[in-house]
Amino acid sequence: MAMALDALHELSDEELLARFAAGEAAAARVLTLRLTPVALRVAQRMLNDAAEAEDVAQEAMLRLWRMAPDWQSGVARVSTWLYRVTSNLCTDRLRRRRSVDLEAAGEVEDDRPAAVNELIAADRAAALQAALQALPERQRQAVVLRHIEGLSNPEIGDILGIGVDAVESLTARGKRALTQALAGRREELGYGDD
Amino acid sequence: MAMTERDHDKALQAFFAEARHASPEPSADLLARVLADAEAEQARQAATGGGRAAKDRAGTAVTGSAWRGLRDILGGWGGIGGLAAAGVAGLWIGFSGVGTLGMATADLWGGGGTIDDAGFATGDLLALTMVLEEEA
Repeated sequence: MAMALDALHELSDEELLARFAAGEAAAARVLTLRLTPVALRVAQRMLNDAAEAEDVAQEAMLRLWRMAPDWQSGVARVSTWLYRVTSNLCTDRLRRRRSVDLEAAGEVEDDRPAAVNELIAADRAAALQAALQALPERQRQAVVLRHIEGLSNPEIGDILGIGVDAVESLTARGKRALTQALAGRREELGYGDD
Repeated sequence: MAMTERDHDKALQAFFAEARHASPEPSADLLARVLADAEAEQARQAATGGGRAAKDRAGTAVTGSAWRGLRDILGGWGGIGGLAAAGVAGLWIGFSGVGTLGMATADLWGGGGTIDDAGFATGDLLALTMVLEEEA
């Protein structure tokens, strides 16, 4: 039986997915609003390209819709599944690109005429985004999932198909590289040695 | 004074916080596209029995592995042939419903869901049945 939209917002992703598979249109709307931002955030962090990130988010959600009738209750979290599919789609796209040098990425940001007029906070986010792009792909995935998405190490391990130790190693190396990359920019971005 | 590792970590956390704050939000256009996909997929699943399969999953676990199921029923590819096999295929089609055929065919083609026309999937297996009859 169809539920009111407000009541649907209270349901878990898994319950909504079951309702979607059973043909409930409102469940599609709630899941779209709830999960599209998740896929988009990760894709944008990984790809640094808004159009590509949107394409990946749409594709990840399409796979969710197609998978819905086959979802095995209790096996995994829907969000974990979505993170994994999104990460894999990003990996496919990144493999088609050549790697981006951090210095070059930084110069691109510095050369943008509009950059000087942007808020410092936006520059910080842009600086981090540029630094993230220079990380090896797996480190970037782990850092984004851990420190921006706020996932636990075991969940990241599930998403990336690796153990918790490997997740910790990736995030530690990623953070070291980010610290080094951003060290020279802290003062100009308002993070002095205070 | 040189920064300690703790200072570095604190600075980095500030960057992460800014990044979280500046996370992209999906545009209305993207949400509309995603929802259109959802509705189209829901309609397709309803038309092909996918929704019914989801409701009845506990009773009829014939889903993405349906093609493998057909192959297994027929005793492997080498065992496919003759009217008896075609009859089994027909029985299987009747048992599993058209919807699973679409999924079965998509599974055969790599699971990418590139075939979304249940009519094509049905015709494909009907053609297989006819070939089997001719070979017999």
